Amino acid sequence: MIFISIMMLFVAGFLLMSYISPRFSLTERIGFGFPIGLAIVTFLMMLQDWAGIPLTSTSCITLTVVTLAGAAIANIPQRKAFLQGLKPQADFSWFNLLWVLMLCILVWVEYHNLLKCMYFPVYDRDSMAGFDTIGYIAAQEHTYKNISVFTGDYMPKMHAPGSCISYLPMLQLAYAYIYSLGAETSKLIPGLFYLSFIIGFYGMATRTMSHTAAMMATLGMVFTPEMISFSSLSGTNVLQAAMASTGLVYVCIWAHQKKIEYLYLGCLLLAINHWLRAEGIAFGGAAGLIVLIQCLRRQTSWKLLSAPVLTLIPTIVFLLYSNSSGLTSESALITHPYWDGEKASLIYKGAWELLSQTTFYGWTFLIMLLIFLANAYYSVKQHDNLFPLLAFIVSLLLYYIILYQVDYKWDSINNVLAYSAKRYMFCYVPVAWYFICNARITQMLFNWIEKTCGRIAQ
Amino acid sequence: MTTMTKSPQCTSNKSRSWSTWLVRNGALLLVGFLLFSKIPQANPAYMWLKESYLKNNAAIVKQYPDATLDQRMAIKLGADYNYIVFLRDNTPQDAIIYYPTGGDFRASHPAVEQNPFNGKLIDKLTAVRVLYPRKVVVESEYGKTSWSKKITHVAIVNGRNLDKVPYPVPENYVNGILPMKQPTNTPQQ
Repeated sequence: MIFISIMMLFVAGFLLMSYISPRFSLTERIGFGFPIGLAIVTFLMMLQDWAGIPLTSTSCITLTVVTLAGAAIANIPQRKAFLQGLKPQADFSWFNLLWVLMLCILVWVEYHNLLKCMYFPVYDRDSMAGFDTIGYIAAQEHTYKNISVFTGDYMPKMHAPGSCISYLPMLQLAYAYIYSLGAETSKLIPGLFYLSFIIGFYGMATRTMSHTAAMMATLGMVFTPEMISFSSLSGTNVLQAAMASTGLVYVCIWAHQKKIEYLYLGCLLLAINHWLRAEGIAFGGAAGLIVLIQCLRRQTSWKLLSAPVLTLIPTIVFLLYSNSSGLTSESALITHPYWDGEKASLIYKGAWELLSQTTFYGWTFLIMLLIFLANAYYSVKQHDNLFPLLAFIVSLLLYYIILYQVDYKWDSINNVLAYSAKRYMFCYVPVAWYFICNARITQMLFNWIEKTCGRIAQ
Repeated sequence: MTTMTKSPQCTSNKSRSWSTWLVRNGALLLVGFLLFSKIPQANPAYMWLKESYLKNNAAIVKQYPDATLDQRMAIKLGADYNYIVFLRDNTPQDAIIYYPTGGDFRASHPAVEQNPFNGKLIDKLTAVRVLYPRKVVVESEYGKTSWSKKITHVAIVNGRNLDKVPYPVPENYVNGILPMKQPTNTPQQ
């Protein structure tokens, strides 16, 4: 049953992408199918719980079937285009052994990572003391809002600042979904999500760069030490990084190529990012700015701005649901503007230390800086690669503004910067690798390789 | 504002001969192999990823392919997990268990040469995950919540919390679980 349900989630997401546009490549649809299907079903689970319908295996499967049926029906009017889109691309003029070598390394790395992820049950502290436990109990008690650990008498600290009761529940509900189907551990969810992300990222990257450059970007992103080690755990950080980064990059691709389906997909992925973690607003905000710039530059319809605004739907609905269900904790957010020089300096120092060290993210940000400098001529003369750079900088600034606005009542800011903040930077790793390989200077190298070593003489 | 260039699309259909393709790609492969095998050696983080994270975990999987879920957890969490499984296996499902603090787990005991616990499983929710549907009460709630007044079992580590049991327990009792109602036989340890 677990296999069938996962397949249905995947197909539902696949069909929804096809509904947005049948022009998405197979790689993109295979990659983003599962995350989109899972996000939609977990969102429906929250609405179901809100309505007081028990979260049982039967109701979870029913929701999946309804989502799948809805996605299938939506595709009926464009079935010809849908079927045509299923044919794999036959152009292999670019095919070369460097691409094969990088693919082999990528497969080897992800095989070992997935093996570790699936073999070990949930053992990381954040998941055992939060996401996984809540999902497990929700599956046992057939509810989310009324689970025993959310009651004040049993868990007196549950409403304290920073408590997991107020976390956005996508991952917890995903775990409840898999546990309600009888799974022993929830590791299938992060394992498949990350695998899907790798495939989707590659498919997305080939939209604007050569296959070899896209493979390099994917390999560089996957071979990031701290990020890959966290991908086999059960927290939200890597999953959010997957959705936030690809969502932002799709908005950048839309800004350049003007094809509306990229904006829609980008915003859908950003909505999932909001559905995973509250600070995902930093990425939604950056996407909103890019759309605003394009509206101003092109004097196009202001209606386009509704797309990034609509990404907030999961957050808004969750706030209504959590407030009406008592799933609230003492606020840890300072909502008014203020200036604290010492705190700002600490955050700036922490951010710089993270970006400039080469342990957690390997050479990712160093290479990005070098490529930025090397590509400066094309950036100035041809405005090359500026949107990904803008997306990176704006979302980074917004993220640290959010960190600045947090009132650290449950832990010291020093601890957060020293131990937690390294995970916050995962979102920037895929954007950085996309930036690196999308720069004109990098593309010139990979285009030359494909031209010189491809199957077709050009 | 920005340009994004895709790979040059094929403009001719002239296939390159296999021999030319092989020679060029052989050279490319060699360069790629050298780069990807040598470059990561310059950064210890990449070496950790390759040698420790990927290979060591795979070696554990290979060494214990048939390990149970609890055994796999114990590989990562050690004696703390084995202890909490012991609590689970030796209490009824409706038990209300007093759970030790981090200080209890890290305390020393004269009868124990080396403390096997590392204090990794001290969060209440962590204990709840393994002990569910049993209820868990922690030190900060002791005597304050309604659940803490209905405790049925006290978890003992390093001889700590013996005072919470309303009957005399031998001083050499180190780790185990004791019911609040005095058992007729010897307590389990």
